[in-house]
Amino acid sequence: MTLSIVRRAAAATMLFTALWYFSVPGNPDVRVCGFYWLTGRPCPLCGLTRALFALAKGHWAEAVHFNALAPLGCAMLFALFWNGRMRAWLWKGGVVAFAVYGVFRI
Amino acid sequence: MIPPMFCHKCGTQVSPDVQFCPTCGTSLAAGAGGLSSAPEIPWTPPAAVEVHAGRWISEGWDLVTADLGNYVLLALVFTVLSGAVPVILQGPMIAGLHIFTMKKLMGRRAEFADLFLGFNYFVPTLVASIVIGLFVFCGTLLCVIPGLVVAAMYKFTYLFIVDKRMDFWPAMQASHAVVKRDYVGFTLFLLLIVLVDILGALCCIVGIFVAIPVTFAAITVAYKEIVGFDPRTVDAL
Repeated sequence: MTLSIVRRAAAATMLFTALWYFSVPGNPDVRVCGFYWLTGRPCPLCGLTRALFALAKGHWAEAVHFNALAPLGCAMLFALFWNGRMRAWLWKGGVVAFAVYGVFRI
Repeated sequence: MIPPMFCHKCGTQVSPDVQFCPTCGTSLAAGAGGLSSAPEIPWTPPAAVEVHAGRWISEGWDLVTADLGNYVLLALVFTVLSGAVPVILQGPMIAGLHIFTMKKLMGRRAEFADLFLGFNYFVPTLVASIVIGLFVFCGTLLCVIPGLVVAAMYKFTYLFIVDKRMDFWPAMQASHAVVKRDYVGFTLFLLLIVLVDILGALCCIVGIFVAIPVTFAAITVAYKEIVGFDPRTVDAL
């Protein structure tokens, strides 16, 4: 096992632990999304941060409520720590899925 | 009367009809013709890339502290001019900051005027700064993080324009080809760079004039390690 793989696994574990341990407000006072500020409608990624925190705690229903593609987003995020051919396919398909979801969401 | 000619490398006065400097042997044709019309240098993306963000920033810091006066002056002029004429001057001056560090890394004499050598690539750097700015803005609109990834994707663009004589779009693609080997690593590198700038700004604001050159030097160091400089570039500048 190379040092690179160990580092990646350690980083992924740290990320998961942080998502599991910490929490963010379900209804934040301030939203950082520029698209939401401009249009008053959620962007394709809105709710994804809250959904990732909920997913790490096993709250699937809550996560999907925040963003319906939260499991896909989670898979894409953790795939970043894996340098393989699957990652490119997952990201290409994921970007298209989020784009389509964004259109329906607006 | 024909004006006197000088070697652009060593400064020796040379006869207008010679092709190479009799003192240092540098080709005078490249210097006289400029680089804007020089052909693009073929380049193949590396198969694997290792991101060493901490070491790159550390080497950037060493470069800046070794010539603090020049670097602070460069950052000051860069900030003032970029603020005075937003958008138009930013791209060429970023290229100039990279050129200054490139010269240092190649053991050449770097001077304050190098900041303006980026104007030899005015059109591609200007268009690159506008296009990258638009992409980053659109990415930032979508809950910020995509904007960070896009900014990370294109941070070697100006170096490809200068070093490999690429136009703005091939340079952006080349930068992306490098960064896509490790999106996480390069995005973390970008976040570290932003952190350095924030820490600099927290040091009574003036610290930013040290932080800015450190970040550009770190990117140049990373480019040298991953892509490598074309040896002809610095001589021809």
